Amino acid sequence: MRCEEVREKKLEFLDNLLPESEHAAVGEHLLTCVRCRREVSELEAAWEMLDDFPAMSPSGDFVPRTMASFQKIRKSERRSLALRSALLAIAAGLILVLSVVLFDRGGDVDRDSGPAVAEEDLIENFDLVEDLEFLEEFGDDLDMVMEYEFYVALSEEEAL
Amino acid sequence: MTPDGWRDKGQELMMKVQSGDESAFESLVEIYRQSIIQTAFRYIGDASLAEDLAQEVFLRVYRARATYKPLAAFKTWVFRILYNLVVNEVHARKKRAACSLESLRGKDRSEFFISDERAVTPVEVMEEKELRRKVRETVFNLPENQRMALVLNKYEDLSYQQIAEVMDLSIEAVKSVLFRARENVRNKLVGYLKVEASDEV
Repeated sequence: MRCEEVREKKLEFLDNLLPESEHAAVGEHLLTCVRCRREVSELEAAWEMLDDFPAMSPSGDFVPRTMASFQKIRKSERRSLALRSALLAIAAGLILVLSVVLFDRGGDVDRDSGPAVAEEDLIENFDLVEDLEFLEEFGDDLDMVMEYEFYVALSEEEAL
Repeated sequence: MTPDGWRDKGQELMMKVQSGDESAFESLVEIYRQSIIQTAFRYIGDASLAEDLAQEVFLRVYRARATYKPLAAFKTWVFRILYNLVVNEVHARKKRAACSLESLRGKDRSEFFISDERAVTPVEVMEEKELRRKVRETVFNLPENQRMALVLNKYEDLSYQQIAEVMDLSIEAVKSVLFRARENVRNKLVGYLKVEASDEV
């Protein structure tokens, strides 16, 4: 293995994340290459030095403080849930009242506007009206024809 | 949750929180507080702020209970919440700091971080104290993404895959970030290292 390849793989080598064969190849290279060995050794030593990063001691009241904030959230959630339920109930009530009022008003409108609707029907169906007038005229004509035929028949009888 | 239905401790507790178990939430806080606070502290450098952020993490965990699905390890999920919070906090700090940029010009970046007495462990030897200061300064001076990847890898033992999930990066990107972080750490601390070329690896 060449130095360049080792440089690319040194992190995974240190973390033991390389496949066995590659790990062995890097190890073999390190045995013979002083420069690469130094680099890897320094990396490893620097990584270990990070253990000296001082940890902080969390304050003793962290859990009670967090739980107190949690309880506040719970309370506010319960309050907003109750408020939402109340608003929903009010909205449902309003819809019900509106429906009843509109239904009631709708019935009155039908009763009051009965004849008007009938007139409207006639205006809208003007063809029908014309047809009726035609039939009336046709009836009158028919009467005239029948009357005419009656007189013709009568005059023929008289001629005989 | 794994394909065979196995859940980690955090996922189990979170499912209980989802079904209204308050004591499960307290257990979550007890179990994960140390990891969350330490990670926040190592990233941001302010003990008091680290605790505030950790508290906010747990409250966000609680608020997210209704939509929670145990798809990733609980620790990964909770660290992702923390990561988003601390990154936002650092950016907010930078904005505030930019307002008084003149006073910060030429100063070491670790001075952005507030030193805290609780972070200082008493040491007998001055050299050790100096070494700790140097280590702390080295970590704080890393670029943000390198610092977070390093903290998660070094102190929380998260795998590349888990770090990728927390930081929303590819595994290759995590490898690259960690590689640069470790090179930077080596370069900063090389003067303090006692390494012989013949040392065993």
